[in-house]
Amino acid sequence: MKKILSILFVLVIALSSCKEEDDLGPSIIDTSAPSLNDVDTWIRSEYTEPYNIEVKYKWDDTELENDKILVPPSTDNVLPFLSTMRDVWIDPYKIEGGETFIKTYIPKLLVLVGSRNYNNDGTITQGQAESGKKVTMYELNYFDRSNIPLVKRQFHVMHHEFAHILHQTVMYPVEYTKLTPEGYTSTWYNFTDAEANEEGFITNYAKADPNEDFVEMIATMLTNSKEEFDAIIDGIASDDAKTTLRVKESYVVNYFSQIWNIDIYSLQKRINDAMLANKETVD
Amino acid sequence: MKKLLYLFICISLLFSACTDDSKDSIYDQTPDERVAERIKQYADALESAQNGWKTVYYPNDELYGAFSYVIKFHPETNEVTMYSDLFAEGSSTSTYRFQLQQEPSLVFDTFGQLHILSDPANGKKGEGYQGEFEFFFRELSDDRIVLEGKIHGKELVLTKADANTPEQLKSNYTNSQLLQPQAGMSFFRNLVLEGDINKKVSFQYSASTRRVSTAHIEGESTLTQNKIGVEFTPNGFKLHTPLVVDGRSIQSFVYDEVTSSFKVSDDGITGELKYDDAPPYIVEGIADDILSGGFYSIDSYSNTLVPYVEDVKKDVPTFKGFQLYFQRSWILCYSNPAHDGTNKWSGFRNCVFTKSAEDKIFIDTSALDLAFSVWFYEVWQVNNGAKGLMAFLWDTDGFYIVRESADEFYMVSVADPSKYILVGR
Repeated sequence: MKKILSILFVLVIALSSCKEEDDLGPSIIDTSAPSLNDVDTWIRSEYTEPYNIEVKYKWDDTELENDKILVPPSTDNVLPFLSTMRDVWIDPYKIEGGETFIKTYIPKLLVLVGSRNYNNDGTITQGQAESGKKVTMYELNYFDRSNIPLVKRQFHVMHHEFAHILHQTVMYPVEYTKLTPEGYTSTWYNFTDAEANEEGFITNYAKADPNEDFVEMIATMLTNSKEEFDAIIDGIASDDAKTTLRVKESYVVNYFSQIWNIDIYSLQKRINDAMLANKETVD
Repeated sequence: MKKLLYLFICISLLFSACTDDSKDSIYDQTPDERVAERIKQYADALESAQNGWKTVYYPNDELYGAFSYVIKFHPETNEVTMYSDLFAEGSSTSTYRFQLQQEPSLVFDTFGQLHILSDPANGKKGEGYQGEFEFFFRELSDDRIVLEGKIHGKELVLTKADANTPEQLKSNYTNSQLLQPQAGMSFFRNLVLEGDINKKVSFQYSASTRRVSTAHIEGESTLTQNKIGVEFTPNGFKLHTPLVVDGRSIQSFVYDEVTSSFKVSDDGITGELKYDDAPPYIVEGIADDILSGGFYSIDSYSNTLVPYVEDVKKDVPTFKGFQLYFQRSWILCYSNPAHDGTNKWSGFRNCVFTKSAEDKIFIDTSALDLAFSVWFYEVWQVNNGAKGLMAFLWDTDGFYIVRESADEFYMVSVADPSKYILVGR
């Protein structure tokens, strides 16, 4: 009886299918490839194909903080910015760290914004990184490759965010956090860089917390020549602060050489040479 | 029991046959098809206008006047050309797309002239002029399209432009420059009405907000103040809402090259914008209002005073501003970092801010002394800009006081009304 029932059960299920097959018609989803302009084509060949990076320069509010007022970049500024970024950031890292290194750790989504990003406390956010995957850069509409202080300031952000990716991958020695524990504060913006220097911090933002301290050291080293960096340290009045910053520098040097097999001074020189050469490029 | 259960399942499966699902929709198309068609309708209309579309855009008519644009679409490249009356000439080229997000919308997705009104560096810092560049579709007809801003919900009304509309925007721009306070002219500019109504209306235009602040005596004695947005036209300008004086509506002004002034002829009265040396009437209590304020910083200077400030900056590179302490009787120069390495502030004390009439004050310096530190005094002795500014502030004829907002006042030199400052708390 049970067997019969089971057979019956199977049969019923087998037969209970629909007979009518609807013609679903043509797909309404637009799968045609979007038309590429010159900027898109350049990005595809210089960023997407070699590094698998998606560059979003056209407005997409889902990628941005929705409580902020921001505007997209001018298309005229996108290629000068991206070619500068390739020359002063990606290529030097590629040569010093190797192709696998840069392809592994480079953020895979780059979002470009034209305007400044104002915060309620009066500060300006120059760039943001999210979990090593996405970097958002602001102030594209102010970009001018011949203005070295501006290029340094913008790529300081890039080096800063990339350094976060590196230490989030392999942490720097915990001893670093104990070098200047007293100086960390959430109201770092009440200090000038000069005041922070005298406490053994390379910038005021380095006072925010040890992670920011570590990446600010890296970003400051990589956006200045060795001579310029030494001049910053030598200009500090406090001998204690000078010594502290030299110790922090040595942590950075060792971290780069031991963890990533990169000679940071060689990287520093390559970046600065590229920045000066890039200044002369005519768009 | 188990058998029964099997049986029950079999029976219910048997009855669970297919039915014909094809129900009649009240629409002929699927939702996706309808959305696609709606986008196509707007896209076809927007992209087909040969000379593009023009708009008089009020990003927020309670705070700002209007900005006029011509927007021309080039579907073959997804590009859009924008002209505006923000500049003497030139246009921008940027990109656009139609998208479905919440509902069908048009996005100007790279920076063009329209984005100037959204850029947080312009207008109110961090906020811009509340302009938008993402719009929902609202109305469509042959020569008029209404879009609605995604964030603030203000309308952008497009009408068809013709070939010379971009040229006309240049004239709009010229008129916007002519309405600005002219170099060397008095702060006081009045709309002088003639005919059945003989009255003066105080008429101050602010270029940063594209609005006029007006004040007049309605009837015999009622002081009436208005802030009204301005939209520039090829011939002059138009007020967003009419200015009503004794029941008459005044709205459209035309620039007269012969008299170099804006004239109006509306609703049976005529008027002309004219400079004057003094305010058209006395505002009771305004001197007391500013004196009760305590502390002000000088937020801006008339163009006759700007060279003085530039001069001060030469000797005080870290100059941040001048501060007027009405209750403590100080006038201080503020520097950051500190100009002498120690004191951020330096200046004078015993500068007694004194009421001299209902709408006038002067600064009594008969017992003048140094305050905080000596560095500004040293600068003042050698720097002509500092000397000029202090002479302006210490002039015994004093200032007319004109209110700009709840916390801001103009202080206009009585001796030379082309010299004035805007002070704010």
